Amino acid sequence: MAETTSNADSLDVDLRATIDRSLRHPVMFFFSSGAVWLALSIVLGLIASAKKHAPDFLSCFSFLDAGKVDAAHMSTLTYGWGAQAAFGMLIWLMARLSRKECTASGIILVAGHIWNAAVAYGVLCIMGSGSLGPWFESSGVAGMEFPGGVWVVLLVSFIMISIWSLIQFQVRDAGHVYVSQWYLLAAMLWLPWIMVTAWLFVFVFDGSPLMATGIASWFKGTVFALFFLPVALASAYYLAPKVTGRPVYSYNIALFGFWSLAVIGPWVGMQKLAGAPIPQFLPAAGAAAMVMILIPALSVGVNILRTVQGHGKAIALSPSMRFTASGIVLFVGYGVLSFALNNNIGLKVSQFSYAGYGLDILGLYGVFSLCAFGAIYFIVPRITRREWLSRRFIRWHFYLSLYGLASIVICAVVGGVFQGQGTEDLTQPFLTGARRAAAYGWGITFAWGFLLLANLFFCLHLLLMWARLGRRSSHPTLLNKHHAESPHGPEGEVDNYGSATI
Amino acid sequence: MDHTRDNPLKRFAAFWIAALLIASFAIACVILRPMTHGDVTTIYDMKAEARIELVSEARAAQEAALNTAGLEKAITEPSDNLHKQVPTPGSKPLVAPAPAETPKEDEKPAPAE
Repeated sequence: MAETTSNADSLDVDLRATIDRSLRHPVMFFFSSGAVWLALSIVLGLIASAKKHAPDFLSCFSFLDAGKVDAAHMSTLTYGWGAQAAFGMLIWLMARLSRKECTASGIILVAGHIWNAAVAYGVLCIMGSGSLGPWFESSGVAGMEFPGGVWVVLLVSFIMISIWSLIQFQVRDAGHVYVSQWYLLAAMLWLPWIMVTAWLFVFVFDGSPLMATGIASWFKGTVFALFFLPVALASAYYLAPKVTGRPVYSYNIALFGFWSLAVIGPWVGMQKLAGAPIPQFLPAAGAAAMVMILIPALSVGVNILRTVQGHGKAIALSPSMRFTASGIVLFVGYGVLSFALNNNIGLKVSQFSYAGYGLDILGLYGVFSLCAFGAIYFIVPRITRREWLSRRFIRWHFYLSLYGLASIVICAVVGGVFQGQGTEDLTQPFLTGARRAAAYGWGITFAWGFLLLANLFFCLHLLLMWARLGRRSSHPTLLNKHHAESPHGPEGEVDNYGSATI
Repeated sequence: MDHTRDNPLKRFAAFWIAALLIASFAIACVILRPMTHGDVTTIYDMKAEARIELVSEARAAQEAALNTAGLEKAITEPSDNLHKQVPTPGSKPLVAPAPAETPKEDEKPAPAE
């Protein structure tokens, strides 16, 4: 009996090794190029933030105009870093959970290069608008600044990347469908839906330009709620039980959290157009959905945190668990802040101020990126068969990320509220709002500097791993010096691949 | 482990089902658009007719109210009168006095030693 069990374990390890090997190149490509885009995005964010309180900063370069650099910053953060990190997580998690190796890694890799080329061209168009010629013109639609054709290329690339995961799910061995798989499957279907719809209504159909702006705003909101958030939650639902060795606390709460996100998520985004001459139920519905995001946030927060409860050591030692748990706590914070800033009173001061930006960054960097970092720290040693080189780099990455993020969000929200109040006070000149927020703008600029430093550590570390310069060890890199037992399960899972060769 | 679920036919079917599902989003948009598309053009056209009518009426009223002959007479009569006037002999045009000259920097007297 023991021999049979041991044989099954050995087969299981071999299967996992095969899956990891089949996805090594595309996953590492997505993570590494995403990390480089993230560093670029933070540099652009720093410049964009500096230009808000010092408009003459780098004003000699027309491609760094405030409007251009701001759009380039958010586009690189979303489609350069966020999307590619999500693709890497999505294809690896779905393959592992469906227990099917990938047979199309070459196609995925080609699609990844096409995606990168399209994003690079889109960013060139944003920054070179008006100076590089007619082939390099931004669409000028806030939230969808890439030219119309770029969206088609991005959509086709995404289909080429994700369709293999859909097939893996379809042909999986009969049995349990994990919570993570619900979220991954939903993300794979929701993104094409919102991309197709937004592209058609903004760039193809002849409609009112005002509604096109509204639809672009809806697209920007739903890309986070219906793609980035599900992928981040799928990763959290995978890692929390995996690292702690406990099942998910409650499947009913998980089910409730999933469906509440599915019902609420598609409505977000239009709140940005409150007061615009469009049917007023649209921004009202958007604001209500943003307020109700608190429901899935609390469900997921309670479920994941109860799953890891009593395993403080795992959170303290495991880099993946530390980042993931922080991301989930910040998701609850995102829900609370979203509730505060999108109700009738909050929307007045957040709509045209730093506060809305703070919420966007909390979502994209705080919730999604921290969960993505957690997943990357878990996945990369398994696919490269090397351990992370330096626990110091990981620690610096964690603390600087958290410090920078907290500074940005606090400065943006507090400064944004003052700014919004100044703008709303009709007895004061309009400039009052900007003056009130200027000091907080300085704070945001410095905070981007901390995030840049954090991500330089991360990017360098990841590129070293990509070059297969990681440690050849059976001991996972944990965040303390001496560890008697590993929270990642049996010691040396990486090396237990045995004879599996690359 | 159940291997019957994974075969080339099943994979092929899954590929096309997924592709069709994604394409169906675009098809649904194209079908639904005429139903959801607001009659923006029609509304503009309807409003435009009323606006053109209003503008025509206003222009006609202004045209009718404008006494072109009287206006022409009011302009040409004073101009003709001015044209007919000749200067009175012995009168001198008023000339403004020339500004006082200020000494230039290099023309200033040298300070006493």
